[in-house]
Amino acid sequence: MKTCVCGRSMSILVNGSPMEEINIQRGLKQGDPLAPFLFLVVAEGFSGLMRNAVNVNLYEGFHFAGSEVEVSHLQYADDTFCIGTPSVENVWTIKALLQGFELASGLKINFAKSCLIGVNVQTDFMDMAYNFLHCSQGSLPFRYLGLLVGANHRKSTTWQPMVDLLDRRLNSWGHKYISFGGRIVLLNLVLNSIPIYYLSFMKMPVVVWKKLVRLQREFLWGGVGGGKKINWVK
Amino acid sequence: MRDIKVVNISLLAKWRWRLLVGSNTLWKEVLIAKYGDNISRMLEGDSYLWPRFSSSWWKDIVNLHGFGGNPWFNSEVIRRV
Repeated sequence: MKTCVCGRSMSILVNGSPMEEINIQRGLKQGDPLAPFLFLVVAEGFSGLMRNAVNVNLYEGFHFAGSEVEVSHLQYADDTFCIGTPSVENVWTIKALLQGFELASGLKINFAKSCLIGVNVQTDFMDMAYNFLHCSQGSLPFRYLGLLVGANHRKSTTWQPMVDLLDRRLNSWGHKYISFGGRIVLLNLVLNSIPIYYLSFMKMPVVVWKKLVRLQREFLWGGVGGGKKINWVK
Repeated sequence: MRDIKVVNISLLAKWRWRLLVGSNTLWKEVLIAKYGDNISRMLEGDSYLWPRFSSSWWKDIVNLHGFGGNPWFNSEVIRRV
């Protein structure tokens, strides 16, 4: 592991011939498979800080009524999500933890990309917290790991971006000359796997399902040029 | 042609399966904290017994086969101790 991180030298190919060697003191090369693992080792540090803060009662996570389960933070790679009760102590602790983590790890937190969302919290408290943390103001349907949190997935408007995406994809394929069999394979393998991530979490409304089926059929039977033809349904 | 609705239902059924198969994960603890210990009972019942504060996600999971539909999941899954 040490030789990977502190590799001695590297040379660059210019027009096929190697240049003189460059001495690297330390640091991973770009695209090194070790990089995500090293990142996780560092990101776990933040998790440890949070856990410790909860243990010494500096931070109060989200409690479920009548239960001991307490959720204070969620992490997925570089995506971090802190949940807590709205109190001045929590805001203080978060700021101190983030700054401490920045100093200790050398990672910089982009406060412009971070946002704070209040659920049933008074606005004057939220304004104070925004100013104190210097982060942007979030609103409730927000995106976490690609999914919209807090949106009503029974409304077809929630699904409209996905339908539009599929529509655009199909339009770009329409110009290519693909055989009928090719179009079936394309639909089954590519088009139907785009929404799988959404479908694994949310039940799609019937309206959206009908829209998708129509898109598929028009592509399958319309083919080149996107003209409408009769859709033979078994 | 793959029916995308069936894909949807089967992916949601996977949540039920993962709830029934014993493992202690955070999302499961959260669900138990919110809906109570009899969470798998709720899935086995024929009636749609969910509390009023249930999220629409949870309602979808409990009522996977739809109102008046055939409860295929419970008839196919057998508990063996």
